This record gives sequence, C-alpha cells and structure tokens, in this order.
Amino acid sequence: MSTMTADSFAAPGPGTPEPGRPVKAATLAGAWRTFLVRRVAGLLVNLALLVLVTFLIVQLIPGDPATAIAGESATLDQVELVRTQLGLDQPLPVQLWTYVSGVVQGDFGDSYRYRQPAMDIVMTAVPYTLTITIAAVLLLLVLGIALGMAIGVATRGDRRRWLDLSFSVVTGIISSIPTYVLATGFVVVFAVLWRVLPPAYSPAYNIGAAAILPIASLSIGGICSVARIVRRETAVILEQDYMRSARGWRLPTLTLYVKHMLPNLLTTALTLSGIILTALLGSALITEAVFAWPGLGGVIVQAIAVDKDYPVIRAAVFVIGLISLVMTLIIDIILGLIDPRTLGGKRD
Amino acid sequence: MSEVSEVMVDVRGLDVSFGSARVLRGVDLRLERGRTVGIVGESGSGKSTLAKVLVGTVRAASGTATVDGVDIVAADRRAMRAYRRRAQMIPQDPYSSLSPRRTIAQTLAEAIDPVRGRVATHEQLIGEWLVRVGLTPEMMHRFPHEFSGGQRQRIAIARGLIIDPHLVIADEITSALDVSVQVQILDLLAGIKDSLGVTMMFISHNLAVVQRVSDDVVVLYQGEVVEAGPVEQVYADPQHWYTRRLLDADPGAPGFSLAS
Amino acid sequence: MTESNPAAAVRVAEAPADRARRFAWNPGLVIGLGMLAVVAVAAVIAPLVFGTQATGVGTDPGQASSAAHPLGTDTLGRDMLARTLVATQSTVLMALFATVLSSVVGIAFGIFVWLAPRRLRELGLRLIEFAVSYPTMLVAIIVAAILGQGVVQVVVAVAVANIAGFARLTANLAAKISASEYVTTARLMGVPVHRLALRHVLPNMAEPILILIAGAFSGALVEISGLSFIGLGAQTPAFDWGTLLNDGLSRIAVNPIVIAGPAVALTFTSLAALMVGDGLAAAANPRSNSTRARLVRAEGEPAVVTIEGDDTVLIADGITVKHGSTGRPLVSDVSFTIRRGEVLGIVGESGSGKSLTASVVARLLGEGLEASARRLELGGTDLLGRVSGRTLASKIGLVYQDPGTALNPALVLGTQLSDVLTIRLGFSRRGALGLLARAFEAVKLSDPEGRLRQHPHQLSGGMKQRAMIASAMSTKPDLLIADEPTTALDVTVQREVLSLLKRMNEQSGTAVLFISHDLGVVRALCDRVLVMKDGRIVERIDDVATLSEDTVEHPYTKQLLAATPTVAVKVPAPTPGEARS
Repeated sequence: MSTMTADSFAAPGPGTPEPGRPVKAATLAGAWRTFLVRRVAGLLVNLALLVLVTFLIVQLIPGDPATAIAGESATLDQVELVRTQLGLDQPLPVQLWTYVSGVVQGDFGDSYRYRQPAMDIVMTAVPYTLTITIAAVLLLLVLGIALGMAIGVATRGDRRRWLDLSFSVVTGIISSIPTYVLATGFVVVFAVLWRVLPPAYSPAYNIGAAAILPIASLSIGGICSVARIVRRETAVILEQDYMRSARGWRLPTLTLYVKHMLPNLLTTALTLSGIILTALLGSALITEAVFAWPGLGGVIVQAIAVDKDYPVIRAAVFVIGLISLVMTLIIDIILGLIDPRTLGGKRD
Repeated sequence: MSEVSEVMVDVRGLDVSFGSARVLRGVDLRLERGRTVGIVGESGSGKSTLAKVLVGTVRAASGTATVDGVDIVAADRRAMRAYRRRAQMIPQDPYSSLSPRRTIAQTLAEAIDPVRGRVATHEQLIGEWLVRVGLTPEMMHRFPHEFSGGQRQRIAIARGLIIDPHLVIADEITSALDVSVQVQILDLLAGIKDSLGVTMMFISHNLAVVQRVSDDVVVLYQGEVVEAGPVEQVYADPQHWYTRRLLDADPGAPGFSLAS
Repeated sequence: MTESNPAAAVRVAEAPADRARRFAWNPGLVIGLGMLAVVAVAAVIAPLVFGTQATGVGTDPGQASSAAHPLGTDTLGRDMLARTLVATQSTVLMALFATVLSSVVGIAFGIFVWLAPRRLRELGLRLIEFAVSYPTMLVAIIVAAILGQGVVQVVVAVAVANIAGFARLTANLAAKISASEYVTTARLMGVPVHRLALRHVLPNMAEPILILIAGAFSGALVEISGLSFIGLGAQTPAFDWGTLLNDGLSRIAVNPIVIAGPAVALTFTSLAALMVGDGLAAAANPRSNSTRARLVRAEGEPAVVTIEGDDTVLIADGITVKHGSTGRPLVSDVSFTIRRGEVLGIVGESGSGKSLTASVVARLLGEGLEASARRLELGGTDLLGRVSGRTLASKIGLVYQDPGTALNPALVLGTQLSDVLTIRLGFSRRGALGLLARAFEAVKLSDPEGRLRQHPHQLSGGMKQRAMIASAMSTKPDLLIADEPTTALDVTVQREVLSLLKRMNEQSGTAVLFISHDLGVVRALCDRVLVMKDGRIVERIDDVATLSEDTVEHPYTKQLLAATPTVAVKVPAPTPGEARS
C-alpha cells in the first residue's frame, strides 16, 4: 500500500523531487542555440527575398523597362544598349541567374552616371548614413527611456496631473513634426538666424559640427515618441504583481525602479525600437536631403529622380535592407540577454 | 444511419501528440447514453485535449473514437460538420466565451441557426431557455458585460444545450467562480441534464465537484487513464496511487490534513 | 500546452475583463477631431477662394512677411499663405487615398492570410514580416523607382509601403480573436467561416484598426510630403505641402518665412491625426483615475482587549478601507489579533475584503484606497506611525496568490530574492545567496544554487511558490502573510505548499495570516478562522477542529460550508501518511 508497487509509472508525481537522483536546474544554453539557429536561418531567407526584390525593381517597371530607363528622348540604339547592359534581352531565369551570381560577389553592375561599380558609390555613402542614424538611435533610446521613466514614476497613481498633461501636449506636438520639417526649422534657426552651426554638409566644415543638426532633427521626434510609450509602459509595470513583491521587500526607491522596473521596461522599449529604428532609417533618407548630407538618401534620390541609375538603386536598396536586418538582429540579441523569455518568442 | 446504440462514447487506444509531446497515450473510454462521466486530472493530464478530440478540434494520431455512431477519428469534413451539432462544449471561462459585441439573444440565435442566426425567428425559444437557466427573457437584449460571472456561465449553459445535443462536454465550467455560485451552477446543470436525458462529460480538477454531477469518473495522469469506474466505488476504494494521492490532496476530502 | 489551467481562470475572474462598454469620449479625441475638421474645411474651401491667388503669377516675387502677404511670396510672387491653404486639398486627398488604399488592401490581405490553409498562411505571415522589417520610406522609394514620379505614383508608393502594417495587425488580431473562446465555440456550433469573420472577428477588430488608420493617415501625410519634398512626388505644376517646403528650402537663406506655411500645416494635420489616434486608444482602454493610498489612525473605543505580556504578535483594531474618490466602504471595522506560532485564516469570497485587510496589515495598500485603524501593532511596533523599510522588511514576510506574476520575469531568482537581505538587512551578497540556498533547501527545492541562477519562467508554479516562501521566511519575520498562496496551483501541489507552510510555522513559530476562499484548505491549516463578507467579519471560529454547519452561527457561514464541495466516501480513505510514500 505504501509503495508504488507494480505501477507502470516510472516518473514520480508532479513536484516531488526524486530522492535518489538530484534534479539539476536547467540553463539557458539550449534556448540560445535554438534562437541563434532560427535567427540565422531567418536572416538567410530574408537576404534571399531582398535579392529577389532588388532584382524585380527593374523587371517590374511598367511597359518596356529599357525604354523607360533610357528616357523618352533616347534613340533606338540607346534603348538597345540599355537592354543589353541590364540583360533584359535574356530570358527571365537567365537574367535572375546573372543577377544573383553578380550580387553574391558584391557586383550590382556599373553606375550609368559615374561609370564605376554601383556598390562602390553606395559604400562611400554608407558611413555617413550610419553615423547619423546610430547616433540618433542611441540618443533616442537613452533620453527617451530616461524621460519616459522619470515622468511615468513622477505621475504614478495620478500624481502631478499638470506634469502629465504638459508632458503629453509637448511630446505630442514635437513628435508630430515631420523630421524634415524639423530639420528645415533647425537650419533656419541655428544656421540662418543665429549662424552657430553650418546649414549643410560641405567638406569645408568640421564634420562633427555639420552632423549636429541632422542627428538632432532625427532624434528629437523619436525621443518624444519613445518617451510617450515608455511613460505608458511604466504605468503598466508599476501595477504588476512583481513590483508589488518588490515593494513588499521594502526595497529603496532607486533599487525598485532601476533594478526591478528598468529591465522589464527595456524589453518593451527595445521591442519597439526595432520598429522605430527602421522608421528612423527611412526618415534619414529624406532628412539627408535638407543638409545635403552625402549619405544613402542623396545617392538613392539622385539615382531615381535624376539619373535613372538602376544599378545604384539596386545596390542602395540592398544595402539599406541589409542594415535594417542586421540592426533588428542585434536588437533581438540584446533583448535575449536582458530577458531570456524572448528567446523562445515567435518574433522574426 | 447506424442504429441507436446504448454506448454514446467509445474511445479506444487514443493517441494525441503535439510536436514531440505525447499528450494522450492509449486512452480508452466508454460512456453509456444518458450517463455523466467526470474526467479528473491536473494540469498536463490531457483532460482538455480529450475534450477537444471529442468535439473535433484536435485530431488524434491513432486510435478510434466513436461518438453517437460517428467515428470521429476517421470522419471526413462533411461528416464532422454534421457531427459537431450533436456534441457541444460549454467552455471554462465565462468572461471570454461570450462575444463582447453581441447580445445574449444574438449569441443564442447563432447557436440555434449558425448560418442565418436571426434573433426574431427564435425569440420564443431563447426566452424559454433564459428562464430555464434562471434568468429572465427581458435580459436577452443585453450584452455580456452586464452580467456577473455566474450569470454568464448560465448563458453559456443555455447556449450549449439549446440545440438539444446528444453529448455535452463541460470543461472546468466552475473553476472561475466563487464557491457559492459554483454550487448553483452545478445544480442547475445537473437538473437540466437530467430533464433532457443528455449524455455529459464533466471535466474538472476538483474531485468533490465531479462527484456532485457525475455517475462515473475517469482519472487522467500525464495523458493516460489510470483509473475508471463508478464515482462512489473509485472514491471509496481507489486502486491507483495517483487517484489516492489526488483524493488525499483534495481539501474537500474527509480527513484532509496536512502532514507537517 | 492546451491543458486548462485553474490559474488562468482565476486571473481572468479577477481582472476587469469587460471589453465592450460605452464609448469614452476624451478631450484629446475631441480636439483632434476638431483640428481635422478645420483641415477638411480648408481643403474644400481654399481652392475655391484662393485658387487664382495661389497659381497666378504675382507682382512681388520673393517678399518677406508683410501685411499683404503674411507668409511672404515665392519666386514667382505668389502668396505663400494662399498656396499653403490651396495645397491642403491635394495633400490631404493624396494622404487619404493612400490610407484608404493601404487599409483596404492590407485588411483584406490580413483576413485572407488568416483564412488561408496552414501552409499558405505561414507563407503569408512570413511575407508580411519581411515587408514590415523595412522602413516604409524605403518601400515607398522602391515603388517610386519602379513607377516613376508623379501624384498617382507617390500615392500608390506610400499605400503599398503601408499595406504590410495593416496586414500584420489584421492577421495578428484575427488570430488572437479567432483563438478566443467565443469564436472557438461558435465554430464548434457550425458557423461558416465567412460568418465568423463578419460577426465576430471584424467587429472586435474595429478599435485597434481605427487607431492604426489614424496613425497611418498621419504617416502617409508625412511620407507623401516627404517624397514630394525630395522630388519624387508631385511634379510642377501640381503642388502639395512637400513641394512648397522644397521650394522654400532653396531660398531658406534669403527668405526663411516661406517655409512657415507648409511646415505649420504639415505639423498641424499630423498632430490632429495623432491626437485622434491617441484619443481612440484612450477611449478603448480608459485608465482608472486613482489617487495615492493613505493609512491613518482612527479615534474610538478599542474593540480588541489585549493582556500585557502575552504572546500576541499582531494587534489589528478597527481596520477600515474606503475607495478614495467615491468613499465606498470596502472593509468596515475589522479587528483581530494573532499570537506567536498561530495560524489565523481569513476566509471569504471575491469582494469580501479579505485581501484588502491583509494589505493594510502589510502596509501595501493599493493606489486609490484610504485606510484607517484605531490600532495596528506588530511585535511592539506601531504600524500606523512612521516605520522604516528595514523594520517592515524584517518583520513581515509575504507570499502572494500567483507565483507566476509575483516574480520579476526579467531577473534571476538569486538577484531579486537577495535584494531584501543585502539592502535591508545588511547581508553581504555572498552571505545572502548562501542563506537563500539554505532556505531553498529547507523548502525542498532541488539544486538550490542552480535555481538561484534561473529565471522564474524556468520553474514550475509549485517551485516558484516554494521559492517565494523560502524568500519570505529568509528574513525571519514575526508575521507571514499568505494571500491565496495555492489558488493558482494544482491540488497535489497545493497540498505540498500548504504542508510546507505548516511545517515552517511549527518549526520557526512564525505567526501566519492566511487568506483563502476555500474553507477546506483553511480548516486544515488554521488554528482560528475569520469569515468575511462584504467587508465585515461575520463570524469568528475559534475551534476549527469541530467546524460544521451546526457549530457556526451566521447564516452566511452555514451557506459557505454547505456550498464548499466535499468528497463523500463511504469507506474511509487511506490515511495520508501511507499514500504519500
């Protein structure tokens, strides 16, 4: 009666530690391995899709792509030249094969305008774009989270309604100013009226000084958006059971907020920052135009609107897409480090 | 059509897997027409999965399950569609089982006629059923959020039984309710069930609750049936260690005490 | 897992789960709609009134701000205010068309993906995820590169770029709603899929979709104007705010006023859409208005008489809790004492005020509540006065209902459970972890050091609750408050946790305040029991051993006893000691 005699159940009941064999607590190594394998596979699939999309940019042009690219005033010979250059006279599978084998070696063809490999032109611009976007992202996360958390804590449980209201109004207005409008406004104020900063990029100016306005106009709206989200999230987290547990341990205010709240806040903030980041990269393309910033935005706009320089367009789109993918991956890895639960998530 | 058999549910060697996890292993279950069987088990026992197999939302990997003359493991889509009207489920959670944007009448009308679901055609029947579950016909045009948890569970019972199903599966229907409400719901369900002569599967983690409504009991543990039989007999003389363990752990059991 | 979990049900039962309710208008929404109305009026009227002024060649080119031209004139002498107002129509229409196009196609695609067979659905979801991981502006630029420049092209480009966002939200919402019990049940009843979509899925998506539409409109406005601004959008002679801004940019050094019109117009409209979106979100999820909690001393004759020098640990006299803003009483004049080594149970149903009473004793009253008591003393410390965090931390240990949410998901156990020891009780980090490891061992957690390095999600519910009890006992408190500590657990695990509590109580002599809805549990664990209903104590049961419907006085207690399900067994069950092997 007292033993599980001839039972077919090898496993003991739930929650009973087996006396003979000590149970070891599991570690996270397995979760990381699956996560990385899944993400690398996802990255490869996305890269393949990206190659396909850039390939289709030319093929999807309505009507005859060659005629459209060569322009209305082009002669028949010129049209045919474009056609052979882009391989448009070949059957589609052949075109795709030629394109893919080129891309694998980083060869997107030569720029029509500069007579140089398109990739070289794009790579010259990449550092400029990355400089301002990465600086803006860091500012945006640090300042946005700090501001949102401070306001969230200060206005918890409906304290300081005036602060809550003015925060919503001010951040609401600032975050709804399009970055390029803000950028234009900054030029007027800081470069035209006060003359303290250069109005646009030029080799003549110090690049550090010239970068201040682009970075500021890219990040300020985002800081406000992030602060709004973080403020709301702070209110939610403050009501969670585990914060009540922490209060039950009577932890000091600073420990409570920095150690017990911030990691959970970061999870949300970083999850969102993936989205904000891609949006920021998009705004950067336009904002660069305001400051004549020699980044990818200028390259791609020039290539589309003026030169119809499709090799450059393809290379630029590929590189911007690649940057988005890598940044998303980095954010997910940081997320996994902060909050291992996200490793098992279906986010990719 | 097959002739009416005395056996309502006949499950043999039922296996269900989700990925690599085997949720049900070789489950055998026989339920006679008009009787009520209680399915008892803790989280991970597979009791809800068993219910899902019987209403046709989860497919079994192997084994047979004949319910009301239909082999639901082998049945094609058309057969399943006809079958589903005869086996109804009353869900666990009274707060999420009613659509927040539809009135009680709309919800019940949909149960009666899933395709058209016109309230006007069925007002009479809906009103009758609301009275039957202890509400009033005037309540039919209200929305779920205007009702308490117990009242919502009454509505869910009406929805499950209004089309006169042959088999009703009640899945933890009182676990979200206060004890005094729980008793009312259990007695209501038992009363209606008896008057309709419907066969019922009553799933619960609570042995005492199961005893209140069931004739037979099946104990599930990690996907396997470890004990089955009439409730009185199983509770009085449990054969399997896990059944004994469950009985010992139930605060409603006589002599429940804590070893210190 | 698909297994039904009592914890989930309990959580749902206690959460305010009502989603459908009256629409809550709020100032932000009203102001935003008002601003949009202003934009709409300008869009309709301006071209009729200022049409010629805006397009005809003027006499004073390149003027700064003046009475005749408050926003100056452009290089052809056209009034910038008139041009800005007239451009409202084209800009807003373009943004509107793009929003409508992207929402209709996106929602249709999302629904299609949700309805599609599994393989196709997986593929569709992957495609959507692929598309949303790129900047919408990049997608718009790609489409512009394919289609060329112009008003129609830019509308299509921005619409295409925003489709993925709508498709993702729709697919996610549809998946979430169709997994809900009411849709599952309707499907079981044989409701055809298209009716499911129309009756259940689409109506319940309305709120989030509307919010997204407001956001998408603002986004489309900014993106279209942005594309026009860099020369990929409207081409001369067509103009919108983006082209006006671009024109202004070239003359920014000489005549900066000309950018004011389009800049303000863009910001104003985008702000209006944002306010509408936020207002809709606020209307969908109204935040409760609560004020901070207060605990004050009340005057009056004490209801508790204590003899000096006895071993009473806790004296609670006249605890009253009110809702802060409405003044609704939640707990009325509750008094009790607990002696050293005693387990006092408070039993009651939801809304009885049992947990609130415990939170007053723990000095952890929720926001928006006001509490008072004539006397509240724990081990000689007056809890109504100023008490240091250190004192509270060392005197009161707490165990909560749901171990799944009571532990911080982002921190490993060692980190979060040791804080109280290192910060409040002056332990070294190493010392605190050592103490916790021993405490884990005492509650029979396997591999204590390893558990300390784990995150909560790696432990089962029962293990988490053991860890909580170990942590609560690690400070050697005078009083352990356990609020429904086993409600979320399976019965066999519940028994283990209760046995553990009892053992801890007997070994350490720590007094326990045990809150539960289950008379069966309370009967087995507690020395004395208070029965609460509607914020009052209706019965005090001092002799738990002989508790039955005959020994209790109050009708509610009788009713509760009658309602508590019991297992009836003809033959006596085997004694627990034997079966537990």
